[in-house]
Order: sequence, then structure tokens, then C-alpha cells
Amino acid sequence: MKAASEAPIAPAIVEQASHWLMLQWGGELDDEQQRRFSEWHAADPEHGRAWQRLEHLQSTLTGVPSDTARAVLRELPDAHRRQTLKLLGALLLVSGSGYFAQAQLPWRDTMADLRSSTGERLQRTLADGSRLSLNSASAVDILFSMHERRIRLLTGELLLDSGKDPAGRPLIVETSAGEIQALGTCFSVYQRDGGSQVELFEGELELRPRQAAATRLQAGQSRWFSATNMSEIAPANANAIAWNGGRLVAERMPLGQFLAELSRHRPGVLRCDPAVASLPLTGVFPLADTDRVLSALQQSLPVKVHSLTRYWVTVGPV
Amino acid sequence: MSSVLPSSSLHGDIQRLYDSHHGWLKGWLRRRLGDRERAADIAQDTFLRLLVTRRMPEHGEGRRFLSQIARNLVIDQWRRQRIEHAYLDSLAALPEPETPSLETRAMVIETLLQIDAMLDSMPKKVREAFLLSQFEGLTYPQIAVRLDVSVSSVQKYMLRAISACYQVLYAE
Repeated sequence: MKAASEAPIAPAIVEQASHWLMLQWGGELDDEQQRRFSEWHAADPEHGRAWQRLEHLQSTLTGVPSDTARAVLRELPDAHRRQTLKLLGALLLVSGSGYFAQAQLPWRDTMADLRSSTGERLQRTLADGSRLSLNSASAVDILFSMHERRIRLLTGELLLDSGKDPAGRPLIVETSAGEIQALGTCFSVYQRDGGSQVELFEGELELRPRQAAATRLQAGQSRWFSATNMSEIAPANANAIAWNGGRLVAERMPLGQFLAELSRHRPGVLRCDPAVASLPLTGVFPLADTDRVLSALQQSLPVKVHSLTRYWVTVGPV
Repeated sequence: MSSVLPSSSLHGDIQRLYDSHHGWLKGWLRRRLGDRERAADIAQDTFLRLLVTRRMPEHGEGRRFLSQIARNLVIDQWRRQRIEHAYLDSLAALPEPETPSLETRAMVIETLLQIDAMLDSMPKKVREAFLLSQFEGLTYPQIAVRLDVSVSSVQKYMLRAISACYQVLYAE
């Protein structure tokens, strides 16, 4: 809330006041500090005004019970969302230029052609007979034209079992990293670590990074690529698309990785204590009830699940 | 790309912009949102925003400009919905007598939106330190251990956090 009636305060004074607030938040001031603070406060009416603003700031922060704040504000915890809003800040500055980054922006997702919310998975048969599945928290635009069938993966993960197009139009999946052209195939694409993880199960694919040479992928191979980089080719992992059947399959998967995977399917923070992150886990887990999966972990591993709220769960040692 | 106009010529310009693009904007939003009523509301709010901010697009930039404002409005709504939704979910976990009144809820949601805007303007580590300090009650030495940094770094993070909060409340 901007206090319109109040004139701006010199940044240097705000900085001094902030320093005092920072010290107070760190613990009680000792007598000497307390004396210097009182002196500073009394030295100039502007100091008093700056301090008043910081007190208002503090009352804003305490205006919400802290467990509510924890549950709500950390509900979408990853840096990604924040990154997005920072990007939006930059967009506001270029307002009117009509430029929009092709990044993974949540608001883009809300306007996407097809999207799934956290914990939801979708399947669609497209106009050309291709079968498209979306994993949890994913969004695509579907752009079919006279010349091509283009699917833009805005965020998340898709699995595509491509149909044969009578008109012979190429089928292209576009991501922030580049393009993937299907040559009669079944494959999945997952947006992670600033690039696209591609798992190819049938047929052949061409990967076209935005700023690097194109390369081909054969059936049974997987590869991660970004706009400029590519990983080594690895074997495709069929377990990676078990989500399409509503399952998460782990074969001696480290617990940390398993929980990171599981957290894609539930809102809120799911943390793994480093002390138990490398415990290996094997099993087939239903994605429909992630709470049950978590409590089942306690039976198969020496771990304890601490739930502060449904949105704030930590898995640690017993 | 845009210019601030005196209000006398503004109304005529907005009228012209409205006549030539309102229908298009509504259609554009409807296709994107899949919701006729919401599209109409946001198209209306977009022109309202023009009136309030008194900024007008350059010649030939009208549609880009309008769609940008409309997108921003959608984002604002999206943020609000997300916060409201998460808040109501967190209430659902409370036993009946602790459920706050409607008025309290509205105030809490406004405050949460403000705090969310503060968090959005902080770099990751700063945000982390700030959350641990303000909402989990950790001391600076405890935060330092948690984030694997020195106590003086935590103090720097907290200063940046305070500055980010200040900007949200008092940006001039």
C-alpha cells in the first residue's frame, strides 16, 4: 500500500533504518546498541519517519499467522515461479513492444490450449490421430496448420504417440531448448534444468537445439538438450513414462530423486533430509494418492515423514 | 512505444481505440481463456486501465499494447487466485472454531498478496533467509548453518530482503 500522503525519504536514511531493523531481527540489541539506536532515532525527524515505515512493514509481516504464511507462500516453492515474475518485471519495462519471451511462464500456461494442474494427468487424441498425454503441471499449445503439426511444450512433460498424417505434414514439438521433429514415433519430452529431456521408445527423432547443430535419436535412446548443449546419449527409461498409467516406478532410485519426482504430483513443499536422500527405493506407486505413498515410505525405509501442514512435508531419518 | 497524454485528448483517443479494437481484444481473450464472460471483463478492465494510467500506444501499436495490458491483468488475477486458493486450502486444515471471519480472511489475503510481491522481488537465497527468519523463527546463526553461508552473509541477505519489502510498500 503506497502511503500517498508521505513524501519520499532519502535512500541513505532508509538504509540506516533498515540496518537497525536487520539487527533487531537478529536478536535483542545490547545496551550499547540500544543507546546508539535511540540517538540515531532522535537525531532527525526523517529518521523517525523512516523507522515508522519499517514498523509498518513489520506489522504487515506479522499480519498473517506464520503457519498460514508458510503454507500459502511456500505453496509453489521453486525458484522457477519467482524467476517468472522477475521476467515479467522486465516485460513491463518493454511494455508496448509486443515482445514475449518463450519461457516457461505460468501465465502463459493459464492461457495455453491444453494444461494439467498439479496432480492431474490428461490424455487427448489430436486431429491427426496422434495421442498426446500430459503429466502433472504441464501445458501445451497445439498449432496445426496447412504445413505442419506443431506442439509447443510450455512447461512440464508430454508423451506423444504420433499418428500418420494423411497430408504428410511434419510433427514438431517445440520447447524453450529447440525443436524435436518426430519421424513416426512414440516419445516423451520433459522440461527440466533449463532444457528438454527426451525419451524415445519407437521410431526416430531429430533434435534441433535453437543454437546448436541438429542431431538424430534412435529408438531406445534418451538425451537431454538445451538451446546450446547436449548430454551424452543414454538408454531410454520406460519407467520415466509410468505416469501415463498413473504410476511412479522406482528401481533402486535414490529417495531424494524419488521425492523430487513425487513432488511434481502434489502441491507444496516436499523436502528430503540429505541424511536419507541416497537410500535406494524400489516399487510401483500410485500417483492418485501421494499422501498414501508418503506414509508407505515409512514402512519400507528407515524414515519418518514430518508434516507441518499438507503443504510442508519433510522426510527425514527415524 | 507509448506516451502520456493530457486527459482532454485522451478520451477521444481511447474512444477510437475502443471502437477499432475492443471486439478484437474480446475475441483474442476468449480464444485464450476459453471463457466468454471473463474475456469480456478483462477487455473492459484493459480500457479502464488505459484511462487510469493515461498511457496510449503509438500509432499502429494498438493491438500489441492492449494485449500486453490484458495479459498483465490475467497475471494479476492468476496470482490472486493462486493465493486465495492456497489460503483456503490451509484453512480447511483448521478445526471449526479457529476458522477466521470473512473479513479477516479478506485482510489476510491482501496481506499475503503484498508479502508474495515482496518475495517475488528477492533473489533466491535472500528469500530463503527471509522466510526462515520471519516465518520459521530461526536465528541468523541457525539460518547460516541451514544455507551453508556465514552469519555476515545472512545479515546482508536480510538487508536486501528489507530493502525489497520497502520497495513494495513505498516504491516512489
